Amino acid sequence: MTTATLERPEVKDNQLEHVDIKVIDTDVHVEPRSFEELIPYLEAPWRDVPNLIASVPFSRPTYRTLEGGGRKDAYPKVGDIGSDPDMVGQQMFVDDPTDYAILLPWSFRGFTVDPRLDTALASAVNAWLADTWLSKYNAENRYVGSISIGIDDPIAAAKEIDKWGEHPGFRQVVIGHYGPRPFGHPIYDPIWEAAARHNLPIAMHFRGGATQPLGWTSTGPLQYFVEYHSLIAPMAYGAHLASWICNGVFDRHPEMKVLFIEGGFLWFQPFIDRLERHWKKTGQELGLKKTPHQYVRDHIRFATQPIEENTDPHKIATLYEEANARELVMFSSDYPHYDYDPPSKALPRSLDPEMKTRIMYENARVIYDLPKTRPVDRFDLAGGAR
Amino acid sequence: MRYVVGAADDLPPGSSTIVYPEKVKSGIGVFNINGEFYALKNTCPHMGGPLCKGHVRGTSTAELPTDGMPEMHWVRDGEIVSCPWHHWEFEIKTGRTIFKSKQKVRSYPVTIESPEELERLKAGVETVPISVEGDAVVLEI
Amino acid sequence: MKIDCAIHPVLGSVEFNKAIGSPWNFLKLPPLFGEKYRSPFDQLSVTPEQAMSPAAVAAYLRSTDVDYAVLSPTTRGYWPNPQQAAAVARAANTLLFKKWLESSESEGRFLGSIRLAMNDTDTALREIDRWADDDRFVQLVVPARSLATFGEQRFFPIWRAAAERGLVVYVHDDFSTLIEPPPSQVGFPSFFAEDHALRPMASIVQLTSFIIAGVFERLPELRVVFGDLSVHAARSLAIRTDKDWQSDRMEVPWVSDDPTTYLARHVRFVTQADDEISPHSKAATGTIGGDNSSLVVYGSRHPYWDGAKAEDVFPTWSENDRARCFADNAVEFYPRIASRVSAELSS
Repeated sequence: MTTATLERPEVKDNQLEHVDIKVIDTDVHVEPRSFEELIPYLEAPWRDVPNLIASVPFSRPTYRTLEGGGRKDAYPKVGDIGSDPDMVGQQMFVDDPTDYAILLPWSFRGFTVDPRLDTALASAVNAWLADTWLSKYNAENRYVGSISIGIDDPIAAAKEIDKWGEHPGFRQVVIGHYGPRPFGHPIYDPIWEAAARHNLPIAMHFRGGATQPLGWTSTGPLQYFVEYHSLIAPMAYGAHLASWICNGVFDRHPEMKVLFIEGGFLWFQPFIDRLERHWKKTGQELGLKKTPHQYVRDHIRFATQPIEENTDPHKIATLYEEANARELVMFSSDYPHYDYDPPSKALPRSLDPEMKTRIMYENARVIYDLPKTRPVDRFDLAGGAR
Repeated sequence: MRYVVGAADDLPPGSSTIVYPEKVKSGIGVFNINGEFYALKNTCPHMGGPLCKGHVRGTSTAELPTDGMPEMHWVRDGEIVSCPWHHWEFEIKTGRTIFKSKQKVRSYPVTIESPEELERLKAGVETVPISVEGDAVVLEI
Repeated sequence: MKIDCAIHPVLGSVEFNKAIGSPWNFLKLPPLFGEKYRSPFDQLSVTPEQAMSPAAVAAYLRSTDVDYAVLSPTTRGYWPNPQQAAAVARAANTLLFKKWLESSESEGRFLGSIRLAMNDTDTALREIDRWADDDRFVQLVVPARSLATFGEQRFFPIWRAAAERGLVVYVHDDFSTLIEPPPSQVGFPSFFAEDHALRPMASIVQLTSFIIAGVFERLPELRVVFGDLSVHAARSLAIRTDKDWQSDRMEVPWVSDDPTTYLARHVRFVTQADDEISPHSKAATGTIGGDNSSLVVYGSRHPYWDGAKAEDVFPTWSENDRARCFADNAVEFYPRIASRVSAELSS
């Protein structure tokens, strides 16, 4: 099954030698060369707003890694990081090779306070992605796309999902984590319904947003980036996870899958254990079919990056085993961010081999319905073959 | 084995370069800190990133006053390189991480050889750039 | 020996309003329950009368073979009016002293906590001075949700006083703050189950703040117990903080070692009911940041509905590891319990 919209010229897939899939990267960020590249994809009147980029938050003065969010060796000569298909192709498919890259675009900017603008931007990003990384840049069928939406206008978001839902290149919906209420709230239902119509998983990715104070917690604002980066994603993801469960969203949409990206993995087990342990009492008013553990197994997956590490990697391997990473975890690199995890080195060496294959590709392959083999292409020939 | 990086004049204080000997394909970064030369493998011990392509800078140190919050001071300008992947800070002179750890990047001895010495070494030297005017920076790899 | 580090007597409305005095008691301070997230069940495991009674609590402790119990009555967390907050703290401490520590039912079992209002540090320091000479007070108690993280400099004199006077700091996630900001940073959930699941997050934030702001670095003798946070939850996030510190040490150069290395010296976690089903609970030793069997202290959290029962606490561990959890760790960690126990042994 191809992801591209353009036919491969001349050669048919079944005439080529095939290789087995070994790595699926579930968190890759591609970007337009500059905001100007996106403007033609914006609908009126946004296309004509002068200096629209000023309304879209990019840099923030705090809660940032002091040396910048991108890998220093991933900046192309021209254009923003993650915008050059030659460089991305080289670094993703040759230097430390991946077979399929799941694209979560437009990651360096956050959402705004204006839901119409968010919707318009998401729409433009989708049109741009379809036109570039899912077609022009995708002759080798290595890239898989995500449908961006603005969560603050669920009706418009549902329309956007319906628009792209049957496009072969888009295999999931991507959302940020910021919002005025946790996402199991009924106002968000149109979004999950639309995704269910097209059998699309929902990827939640840590993204800046304007509808809550940045860095705020239930006990006040964090002071340091070190705190922010380690705590915010797991805490927000936990709130949404509990919300989806408790509001019966998974009962209403039994095929729904949620993928937590860039929040790590080990945090979820103690969190869900707490919900599970007291479920007889706390869940009694909710009228739900399953228990929290069952909901996680049936509906939730986690991407590895930033993968937990320790001076004794065996301890991480043990925690992974205990928390059922075998079924629940998918590899991700977060290319081209500074804290990129290379596929060849990320996992603890002592991890059980069957678990490794499940994490490195098989769990994601099933979620995204990707084939087990793919044709040899120019990246393999350039040295990316393993 | 000796490896010639290039002319010492081409690597003034505060500058650095990366060379790619056949024997060390991922490269070796050579740094000039106040006239002294140091060389580190261009492979981060963490996850293999191109360490020597990182930002060369100083770093922060803390002062803990008896009354009042911790304070920061900026020190050791030019002595630290931070890996482009994950920003681990390394002390260029020793290859050790700045944060407390047992991790270390391999370092290589660097010498400055005069043109006469270079002539004598030519037999064992892996490569001599087309023309090296004056003293040469030479690694032992 | 068995030490229960988490007993939370209830202060009834009538006695509390009497203790707090006027003008505060004109308000008939709100009952303990009926806050924003109402539970669909009774949040006490016994009747309110039993929860308020020294005799009943003493009987409970005898039935569970407890030799010493650390009492911290439940009050609300943060009070915006600083004079009211100070009055609440003083009333809680006075009631604890008069009605509980001085009661004949104590039989030497009841140990106490000095409740602090976090609005004003000087006021808090005076409250510590008021009670700290009585060595039955073994800890300070501060709310997990305080509207500011405890690494902020303005709280530092409190931690310093605790360290200097051999008082543990007990972070208690009691029934949220009085004015209630969202329990998550993505707004208000809809159900009690969600709120309950999210509550440990505040404690995790405070733990991280103690480490990253350098409080532990600056106070080598400071000891903190988290009453409502599983060791597993804490560890899962501290591991992430290790990684961010390795990357961004430059931002916080006063942190001299991996964040997880501060746990063994400075932090203990009260046993949580959640631990019973955790797949991580089988391991008593060899765990990151310290052995589980070193890091946990037994606390029943009586009379809360979601407390831990002694027989359910880490049942797969060796007798020795369980004994550490039930007594040895608390004796080692609480300076004032250590001196009390050794005084008893030598008498």
